[in-house]
Amino acid sequence: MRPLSLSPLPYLESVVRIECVSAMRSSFLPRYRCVFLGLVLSSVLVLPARAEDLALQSLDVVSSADGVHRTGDVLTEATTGFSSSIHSDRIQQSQLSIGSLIDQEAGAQVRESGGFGGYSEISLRGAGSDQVMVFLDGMLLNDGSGGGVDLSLVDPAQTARIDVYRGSTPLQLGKASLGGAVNILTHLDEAHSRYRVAATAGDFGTYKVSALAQGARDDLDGLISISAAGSANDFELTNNNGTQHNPDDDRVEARENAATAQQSALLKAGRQFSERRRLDGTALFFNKAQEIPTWNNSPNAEATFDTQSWQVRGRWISDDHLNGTLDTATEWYYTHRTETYDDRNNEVGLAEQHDRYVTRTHGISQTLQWQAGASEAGLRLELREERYHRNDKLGHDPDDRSRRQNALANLDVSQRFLQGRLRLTPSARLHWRKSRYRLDDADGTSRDEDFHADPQLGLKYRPTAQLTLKSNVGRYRREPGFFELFGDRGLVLGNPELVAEHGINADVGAEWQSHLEIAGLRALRLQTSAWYNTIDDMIVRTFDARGVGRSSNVASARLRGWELALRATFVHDLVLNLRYTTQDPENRSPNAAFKGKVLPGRDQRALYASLEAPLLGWTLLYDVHMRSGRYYDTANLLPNDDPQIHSLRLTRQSPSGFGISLALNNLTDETVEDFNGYPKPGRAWFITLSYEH
Amino acid sequence: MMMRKSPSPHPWLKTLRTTAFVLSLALLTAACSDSDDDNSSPDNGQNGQNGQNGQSVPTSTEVAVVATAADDFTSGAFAVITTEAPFTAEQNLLPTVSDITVASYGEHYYTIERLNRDSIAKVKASAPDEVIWQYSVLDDGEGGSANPHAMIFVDETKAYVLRYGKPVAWIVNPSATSAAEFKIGEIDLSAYSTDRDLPSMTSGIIVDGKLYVLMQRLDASFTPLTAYVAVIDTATDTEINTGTSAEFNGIELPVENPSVIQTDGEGTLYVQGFGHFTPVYSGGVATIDTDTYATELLVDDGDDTNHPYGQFSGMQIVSAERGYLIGYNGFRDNHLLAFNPMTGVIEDGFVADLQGRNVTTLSMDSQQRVWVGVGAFEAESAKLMVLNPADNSQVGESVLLDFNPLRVTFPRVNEEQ
Repeated sequence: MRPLSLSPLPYLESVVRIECVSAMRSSFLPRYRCVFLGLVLSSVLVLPARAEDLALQSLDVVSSADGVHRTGDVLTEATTGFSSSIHSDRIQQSQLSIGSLIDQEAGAQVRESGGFGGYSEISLRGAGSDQVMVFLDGMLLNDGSGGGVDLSLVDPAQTARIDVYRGSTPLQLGKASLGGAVNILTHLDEAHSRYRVAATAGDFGTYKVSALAQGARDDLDGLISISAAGSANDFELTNNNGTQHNPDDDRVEARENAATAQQSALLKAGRQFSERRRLDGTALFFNKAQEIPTWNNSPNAEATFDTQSWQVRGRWISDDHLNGTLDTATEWYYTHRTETYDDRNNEVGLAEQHDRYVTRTHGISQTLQWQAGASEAGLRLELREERYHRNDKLGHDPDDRSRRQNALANLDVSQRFLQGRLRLTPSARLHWRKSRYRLDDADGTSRDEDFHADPQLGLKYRPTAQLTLKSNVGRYRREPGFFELFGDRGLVLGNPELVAEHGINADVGAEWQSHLEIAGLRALRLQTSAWYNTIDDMIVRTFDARGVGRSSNVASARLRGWELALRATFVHDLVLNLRYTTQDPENRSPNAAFKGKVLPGRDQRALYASLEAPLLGWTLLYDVHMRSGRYYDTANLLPNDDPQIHSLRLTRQSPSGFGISLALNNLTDETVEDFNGYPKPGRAWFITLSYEH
Repeated sequence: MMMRKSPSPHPWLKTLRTTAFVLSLALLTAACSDSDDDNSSPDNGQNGQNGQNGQSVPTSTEVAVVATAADDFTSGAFAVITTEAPFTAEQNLLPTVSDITVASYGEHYYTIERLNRDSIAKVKASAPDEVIWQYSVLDDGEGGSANPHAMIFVDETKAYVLRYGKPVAWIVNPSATSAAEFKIGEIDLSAYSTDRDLPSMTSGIIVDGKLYVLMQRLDASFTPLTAYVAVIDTATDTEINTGTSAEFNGIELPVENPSVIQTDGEGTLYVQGFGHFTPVYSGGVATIDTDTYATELLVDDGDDTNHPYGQFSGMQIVSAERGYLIGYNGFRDNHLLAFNPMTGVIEDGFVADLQGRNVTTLSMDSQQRVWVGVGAFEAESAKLMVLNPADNSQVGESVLLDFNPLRVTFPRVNEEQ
């Protein structure tokens, strides 16, 4: 039996650091406010000018890639929640990380470890990564072993769009949680032919090559996309030698043992039997080999963490039943993920370790969408089973096996009033789950079973063609993971008495967009919302004097905030994007040391601003990303830095299909450590060449 | 050399608090000056972290320095507390990681950052948030973590650093002014290594010029093997062959997985062992005769069916007739027991009503009062209780802490010898 938790990512267990408080923090907010005040005022002043004669261009997104909607996809025009989308042009320019793109969205925050390929997790509206559901083409990636989804396991090369749902989660995404959801959409096979090849190279030995081809013949269509990427990740860092009070022994050196290499392939095929019937099949493969650096950047480190996953799924769409009022989609899926953690030389954790983790998930879902007149209804049923097997390849510990069965039913009814300008959507989510855990050399099986029903209500009102008001309230949950329920062997004990974290999400806000002819401004889009969330029975792992840890429902939290997304288009194709979030993720634990403190790892303020301008046939993009008020620890003794990251990108796309993109990231070479001891790269350049036809 | 002050989000407030605290220390020093001569430290080891050759410490006002960790182990810090009621605490000093401990000698305390931090810092107790020096206890290019567990002092210029994560202990100079001067030697205990290639040295004590190093000897699956105590001549820094074991030079212990070694000041060492983690009741309290190195099982923790006090996770020897044990029944289900080190008999009942609580650590100040660390429990704050061992009564009010106490040590704040 091991005396400490040795999780699949032990190198992330130390999430604290010593850091001097940056003097910048105090001056950060006032600058933000000045900018916002000016922009909001200017938008209000120009609002009456052309409001009535402008056609609405919806901010809503249609949640299938490339704008094609199929039954079972999210049609956010019909949802009442706040969302935003990252489209393929931005994803293709970024090439390397979807996490850094999501991080630019209002209300979203992504923490990354190290350089390219490093662990990456998302927080939405102050909720933790395990309170945010991440989907790939509508299929849930979170699993019963707990923790958040590692976004580095999603290849941007296979991604066509990313939808971020803050707070309220659409019915079509089976499972909801406290923070919201992210739906990552892969390329869609469509009825036209195209191909695209791209290659990226840059600092730290980083490279990426990708190719995509799709075509159609008669009623068949298909797509294949492959990519390979890697990086030595040997960027410079300052190693303080573990002595934060002694700068004399600090040394600047290259990151050791942080190289990564990954490959992925996506295959899609579909057959359109008729206008109303369609069959789709998808296969996705991903492989990543990653070296794990040590906290003290030891040159002798050899630890690795490798991931291999594949996924197959099929979907049958049958529309226009009951006189054209009922559409249906039936889907099944199977995923298999193998992770291997190798620290046989005991360089990263407390003991030598060589573990293999296998997670298998399969399920089937049925979606029914009914529409008649001003009424719409949706029903989604899903059966899902997850199996998790941990094998100690060194034979020190017996294998453990966990299994979770889920049955989910989501129902919403949407009614439109006032000639369709008002939409009211009550909904309910029902979830039954049963978990089992077995240790190979132990007698008996641990079990856990739970059922809950959570109501939600959404409202959307469009008083004018330009303005939409939204509000949502609902109850959401986050179920305990296998480790929290049953322990992680050793001295992390299970607690089968755990109940799901639960809370109320409420938000209200507005979307406004208009074409204008004022002071060089041509168009303005604005989305703003405020939220108030409570979380009770938060699951927290605490430790006793012997270092034994156990999770319990001891804490609560209150998350309040305000977010704003603005896009202004000026003359000469000048485009300004601005996204701002201010939030108060307050810990309301009864523990006096934690009560009233900021939840660890969450920004209190974040600003992303970009300016895009044409320049001699090129497009120049400058952006700045600022954030502040983050702590590594629950007691808020260890403040994170308040970084300001400036970046520059030059792109050119010729009519013949050739494209080139030059990126210079982190111009001021700031050191950023989202996870204590695991700095991200400083200044770096990348070049991408592409051809599309 | 340099030293940066610890980070603080509100420097002016911190300065104000520190000033007030130092003033209170000064007042306390003046108030106690008449009694200082009688205020001797028994120095029974405290896991070797405030020991000074088993001899009494020159008297002066002392403070309690506490290594503390957040309830969820996401951070740690140090606290300094006056030792006269009402106890005044200055908390959240030198915030850092949670895997920390503390040692002291003379007017200084030494912060020890353990797994993956591998560093020691020297701090003057009267200026508790100013680091005098901080050095790594890893050699250049040495991989893995040294995981230092204890620092045991010979004098101002010589101490031993027990590195749990390495088979070699360091001999260091606590008065060094540079990292190059800090390490002055090594003691190789690799002979005791298990299949983890480590002897798991965890604590020690110096008595009569000999360093006793406690080694847990856990194997690769963290199963405790037979534990040993290595005996080092502090004059030559060589291991003494105790002649008690056929396999090793050291002393074979009758308890497994030991963590505390202390003395009663009368020639007997006491070793507390926890046993297996699973649990297997192979722990207890053992004695070592410092003249003959003979061992004896003084207190047995029982067996699978009969273990009335649970396993033992902590110990404090006050004298040859008075000692305390932490009985461990499970997660945050501990109790405080009093026992007689002469007979090994455990008294009936729980001390200070500490039953079913998160008792974290035991230490003794120079007035032979026992400081009991109690971790946060539901909505109750973590605290330190000071007990009078004569009748187990509590001295003054409990000292409320923000974080759970891990280790308490007692440096002096005013050298007036």
